[in-house]
Amino acid sequence: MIRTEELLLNVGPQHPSTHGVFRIIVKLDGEVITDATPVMGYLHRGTEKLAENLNYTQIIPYTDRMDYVSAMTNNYVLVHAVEKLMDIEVPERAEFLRLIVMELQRVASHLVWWGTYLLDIGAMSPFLYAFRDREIIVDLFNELCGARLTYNYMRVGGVKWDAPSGWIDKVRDFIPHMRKRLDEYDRLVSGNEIFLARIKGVGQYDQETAINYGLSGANLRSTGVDWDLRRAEPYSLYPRFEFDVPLGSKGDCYDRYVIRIQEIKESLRILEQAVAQFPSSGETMGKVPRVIRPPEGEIYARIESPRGEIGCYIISKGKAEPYRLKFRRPSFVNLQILPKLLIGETMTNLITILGGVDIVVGEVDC
Amino acid sequence: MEFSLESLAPEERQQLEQNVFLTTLEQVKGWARSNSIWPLTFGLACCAIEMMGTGASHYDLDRFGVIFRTSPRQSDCMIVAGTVTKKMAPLLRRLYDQMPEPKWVIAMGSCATAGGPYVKSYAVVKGVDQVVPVDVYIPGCPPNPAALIYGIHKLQEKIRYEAKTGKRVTAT
Amino acid sequence: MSEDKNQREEKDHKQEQEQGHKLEQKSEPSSTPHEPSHEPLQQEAISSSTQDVHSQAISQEEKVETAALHETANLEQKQTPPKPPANATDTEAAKDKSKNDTKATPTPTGSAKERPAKPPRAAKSAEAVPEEPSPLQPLLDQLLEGIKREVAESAVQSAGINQKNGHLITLVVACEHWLRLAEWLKHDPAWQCNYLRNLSGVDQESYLEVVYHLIGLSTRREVAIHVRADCDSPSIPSVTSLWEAANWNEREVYDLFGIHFSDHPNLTRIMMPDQWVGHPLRKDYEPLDSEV
Repeated sequence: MIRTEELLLNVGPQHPSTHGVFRIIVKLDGEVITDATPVMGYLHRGTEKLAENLNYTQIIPYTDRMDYVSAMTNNYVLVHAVEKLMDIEVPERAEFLRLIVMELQRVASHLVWWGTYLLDIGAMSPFLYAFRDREIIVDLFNELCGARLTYNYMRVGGVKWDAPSGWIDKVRDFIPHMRKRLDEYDRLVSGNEIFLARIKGVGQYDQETAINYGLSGANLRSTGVDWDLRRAEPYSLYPRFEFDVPLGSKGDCYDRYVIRIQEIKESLRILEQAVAQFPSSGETMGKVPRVIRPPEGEIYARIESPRGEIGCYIISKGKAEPYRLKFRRPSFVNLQILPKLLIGETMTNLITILGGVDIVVGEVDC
Repeated sequence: MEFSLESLAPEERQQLEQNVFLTTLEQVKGWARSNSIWPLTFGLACCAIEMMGTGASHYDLDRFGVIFRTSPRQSDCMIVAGTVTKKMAPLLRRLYDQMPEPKWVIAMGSCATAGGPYVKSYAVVKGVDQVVPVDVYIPGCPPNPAALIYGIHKLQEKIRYEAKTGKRVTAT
Repeated sequence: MSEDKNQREEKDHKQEQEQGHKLEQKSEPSSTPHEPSHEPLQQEAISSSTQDVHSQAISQEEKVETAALHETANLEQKQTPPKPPANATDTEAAKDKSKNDTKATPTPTGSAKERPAKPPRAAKSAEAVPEEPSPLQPLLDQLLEGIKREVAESAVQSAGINQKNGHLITLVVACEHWLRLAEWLKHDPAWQCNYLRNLSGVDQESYLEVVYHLIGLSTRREVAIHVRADCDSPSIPSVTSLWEAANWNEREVYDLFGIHFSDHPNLTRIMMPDQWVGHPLRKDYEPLDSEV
C-alpha cells in the first residue's frame, strides 16, 4: 500500500521573495498546504524599548526604519501624535509639504510593491520599470531632505527643510510623466493572461473576516468596506482635496492589485491639486518649545499609510521622553490572516497571497 | 631554454608586447573571481531596498558581473544588508557555512557593521563580524547605491590583491 | 465660594495641594457611582477654570488610576466639570501655563459658561476656555448605564473622555469583567465595536495594564479600554474569540511584558526567540547578554 507522509517545508527567513526575513513553516500534502505557521521576530530591533530613553525628535529616525519603504508616513504618525497631544499648530506651507511628500511616498511604496510582487510571480521586467520610476521620486526626496530612504524629514511642529526653488515644478512635471508610465504598466501587465490566471480568485476572504481580523488598507477595501482614514477620519489637509477611494468587491488578490494601482492614480490626483494650491511662501516650522515636553496624557493617532492604518500610541508622563510608545503597525495586523488564507491553497499560491498582503518585515517586527 | 627579448627585432618585440601578456595562474583566478561576484540575496532590512535599487535599472550591478543568486550553494559573496538580530544570527552563520569556498562577506550599512542606530537594543547583534568574518564594511544608513558599488569594487580589489601577492588582507 | 479658592490655588500651589483639594472635592457630591448627569452640569455652570481644557479629562483619569483607594467614589469625579479645579494644582499647571504662554491666549476668569455641547473642536485649534463637557458626555453616560445593566455594577473602575484624542471615551475596567464587557460592546446594536484597532501593553510601575482601542465601523463609535493586571502572575482573559485581530497582538504583549492571556489559542513567544528569558519591555528588564 502506498502511504503518503506530510512534508514539513520551511519557507525560510532567507528567501528570494524580497519581503525580508519572514519565515513560514508549511505542512504540505503533495502540493496542497494543510497547515501554515508564520514565525517572525527575525527583525525585532526593540524600537519601542529604545524610545523610552530618547526624546521625541530623536525617535523620528527610528520611525523611518520601521516601514522603510514608506518612511514619510511613519515620520508623520509620530509627529502628528505629539502635535495633537501638545496642541501645536502647524503652518500651512509645512502641512502642504508634508502632504505632498506623503503622497509621493505612497506612489513610491506602491511602485516597490508592484515591482516586487510581479517579480515574485515571475515577471522580471516590471521590477526594473518600477525602480526606474521610483528613482525619480527618490531623487526628488534626495533634493528635498538629503536622504534616499530614511528621511528624518518631519519634526514636531513642521518640517525640517523647506523645498528648494524649482522643487515644486519638478513634482508638477513628474505627475503627467508618471501617469503615462502607469498606462504603460497597465497595458503591460493587467491584461496578461498568465497574470490574471495566477491572481484571480486567489486568497479570497469576505467582509466579516476582514473586519474581525482588523485588516486595513487595501486588504480591507478589497472586500468592499469603505474605510480609508484619509476619508473617514481626516487628518492633515486631506479634506481640501478631491479624491476617490477605490473599493473592490470580491476580496481576492486581483482586487487588491487593482485597488493599489488605482491608489497610485488617486495619489497623483491629490498631488496635482496640492501642487496647484501650494502656498508660495510661509513658515516651515510652527511655534514649538525648545524641548518637546508633552503634557501628561495619552493619545492614539492614526493615519493611512500605503499598507494600512498605522497608529502611534503614546503615554506621556510629562517628560521629554515618552513613557510608553507603541506603534500599531499595519503589516503586523494584516499578516494575521495569512494562515487562514493558506490552508487548502497550493504552494505557488503562497507566494502570490503573501505578496498581495503587502508586508514590510521591518514593520511586522518593529 | 633561454628566452630573452633582446634577440628579437624591435617590430617583433613590439607586436609581442601588444598581444601577449604574462601572468600567474593565481592572478587569472583572482581576475575571474573578482569580475563575477555572485552575491547571496541576504537583504534583512532597509539596506535591502537600497541593494535592490542598486541592482535595478538606474544603478545597474549586472555590468560588474554581479548577479544575485538566491541559493547559498551557488553564490560566493554574502552581502549582509540590514540589522542582524539575535534570533537571526544562528541562521546567518548556517547560511555562511553552506556557501562553498572561496567566499567573502560584505557588511553593508551601519547595522551590520557595528549595530547601527540599534546598538543599545536588547535584541540586536552589535556587528555581524561577531558571527561571520567580514571582508568589506560599507558605512551608511542606508549607504547610497554608489557607496555599495564602491564597496563591491573594494572587494574586487581585495580579491585581486590577495591573488597577486598571496598576502591576506587583515584588519590591522 | 469654592471657585475663587480654586482660582487662587490654580495659580499658586502644586501637587501637594492637589491631593488635599481632591479629597475635599470628593466629599462634596454624593458618592453614588452612576449618577453622573446632574451634578456635573450644575458644577460646570458655576465652575471656572483658567486652565487649558485639554489635559483635564485624561489627567483626571490617570490620577484616579493611580489613586486606587477611591475608585468607586471617583467614578463621579471622572466627569470633566468638577475636576478642573482639583487638577489645577498639579504639575501640569506649570506645563499648561507655559503652553498657554506660548499660545498667548487670554485666560478668561470667572464667567460661567453655560453652553450646551459644542461641536468637537479640532485638537489643534485650542482656546483656553473654561471646562465644558465634551459633546460625547451623554454617550459616555449611556455607555456606563449600559455596562451597569448588562455586565456588572462595578465593572468600570473609572471612565473619562480624552479630549485631546478626539474626545475618545476611555474606561478603566477590572480584568474579571473584561470579557463580558468586550462581548457586550461587540454585540450591542448601538455600539457594535467590531474592529479592534490597537492592543498594547503598558508597564506602569506598580501594575501592568493592557490598553484596547475599539471602533465600530458602521456606528463610528470609539472606545479605549484599560484593563489592569498585577505585577506578578498577571492574567487577563483573551479576546481572540471576539476579534481575531487580537491573536498576535496578545502574543506580542505576552512576549514583551509577560501578561498571560487565558483561553488564547497559541500563547507563545512571537518576537523574541523561543528560549529567551525575561520580558524585555518591562521597566525592570536587564538584558543577560549585553555584550553581544
